[in-house]
Amino acid sequence: MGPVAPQLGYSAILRWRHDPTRDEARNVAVILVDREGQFGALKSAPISSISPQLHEQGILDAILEGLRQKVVNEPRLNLLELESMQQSMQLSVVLSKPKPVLVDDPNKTIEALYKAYVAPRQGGTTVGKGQILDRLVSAYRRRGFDVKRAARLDDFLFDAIIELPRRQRQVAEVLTFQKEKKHWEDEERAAGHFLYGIERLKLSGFAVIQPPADSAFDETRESHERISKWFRREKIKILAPADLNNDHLPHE
Amino acid sequence: MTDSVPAQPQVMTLDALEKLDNQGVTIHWAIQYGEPPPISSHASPHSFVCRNGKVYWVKATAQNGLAAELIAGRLAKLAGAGPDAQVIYVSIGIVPQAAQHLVGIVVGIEEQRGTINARQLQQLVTQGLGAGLADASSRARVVCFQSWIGVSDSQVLVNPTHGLVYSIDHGAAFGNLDPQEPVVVVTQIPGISDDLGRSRADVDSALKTIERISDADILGVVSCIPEEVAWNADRGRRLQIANWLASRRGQLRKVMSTWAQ
Repeated sequence: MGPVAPQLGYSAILRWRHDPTRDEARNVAVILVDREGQFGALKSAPISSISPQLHEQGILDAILEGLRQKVVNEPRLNLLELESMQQSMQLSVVLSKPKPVLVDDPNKTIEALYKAYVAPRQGGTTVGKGQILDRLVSAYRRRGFDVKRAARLDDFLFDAIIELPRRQRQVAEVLTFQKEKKHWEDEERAAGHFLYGIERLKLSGFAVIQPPADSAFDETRESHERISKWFRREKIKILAPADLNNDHLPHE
Repeated sequence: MTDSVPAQPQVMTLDALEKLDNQGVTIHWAIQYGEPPPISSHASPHSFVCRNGKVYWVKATAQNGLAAELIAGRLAKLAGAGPDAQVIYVSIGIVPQAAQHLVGIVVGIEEQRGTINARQLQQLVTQGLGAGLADASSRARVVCFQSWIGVSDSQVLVNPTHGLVYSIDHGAAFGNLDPQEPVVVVTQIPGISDDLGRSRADVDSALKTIERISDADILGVVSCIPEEVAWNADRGRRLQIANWLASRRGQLRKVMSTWAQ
């Protein structure tokens, strides 16, 4: 009676404690390993759902990517190493104590654990800058590119830095005009910073811009057109968020 | 309120139930232990993450057999009055000492996040709660549902974010299957008026949801259940439960009209 038992793995939840003193934390990823490091998986929530702050997004993304490499690539993290990591992570990023989990298929198991512990609740349909940046980073990483999110090159902060072959780099700026507001100085300053940065560092770059909705204020359309004109003048390719699903991305 | 439910063609037969049973029992694997029970109860349920990504509060005993929980949970989901119930397989490899009694093929009630058990509210609430804490239409659904299945020792969960109310803990259901007219069951929610959900509109809406549950649906709900001793679910008994439910469904509107205002 009952199905045959699969093998035993161990999972831990990575939590982000925005304020360690208050111990207010949220689950951001689940990690799955086994005793010997024979299999491993990590699944995380979209970065944009964890924090709206670009700087925090960058740090979280770097941490999660680092962990993912340890879990997925040989030699994989094993239970002992995961337990040791859990004991040392006690401040803003904490790991729960690894717990046993039955594993027949690591991919299916991590999906189940992710759904139970981490998956953000379904929210509204508005797609913000963070979510577009999630898609951009995922699109390049799926193709094997190394991408840093919200990272600096010299003095300049870029939304995404994509490492290309032969030690080349490409940078990206993400902007959205689908917000209910009339003043777009922050976006214009961000666009100006981006253009100045790529000129000073002699980089190639592109932008992903979500255009205004049909019902947008005039000020929104004007700001969108202003920024688009700057980018066109500097020959910066402009993509729409939907273009990130295409077969070919900039520099492919 | 509108007229009673029209008669339905005869579908409640042993042959029909056997045919459904032959489809087999769907069993969900528990892959990881969750946590112990938040409040004490007869069955001492613990939570488990299952392979489908859902979390279930798992029980291995119930006053009238695990089938009572499973059938009532399936019905609650159809009636929009409570969480779903499933058959769960718990393996010894993932179970701490305190939950060893749950190893085997048992029943799980789907977790409803963000909810508070009304019994916990009893310990915490000393004054009335805001009128908006519980949703009237949701409360009406639970009252109608619990009256239909005739639970004793009824319990509810409340979600303070959405105001939804859920009927839970149905292990005592289906103890007495003698033909009896339903009586109104109103589970108290501390700080919430017993009159919440009594409007004719809310009760009528709740009744319509229950009346849309057909004989075929009821037969489906009592089918595909393990027949081990702990389940108390031999086919004859399950058919008896199905007929009992169908009969009470037809009487419910008249009974609830005495409560609706």
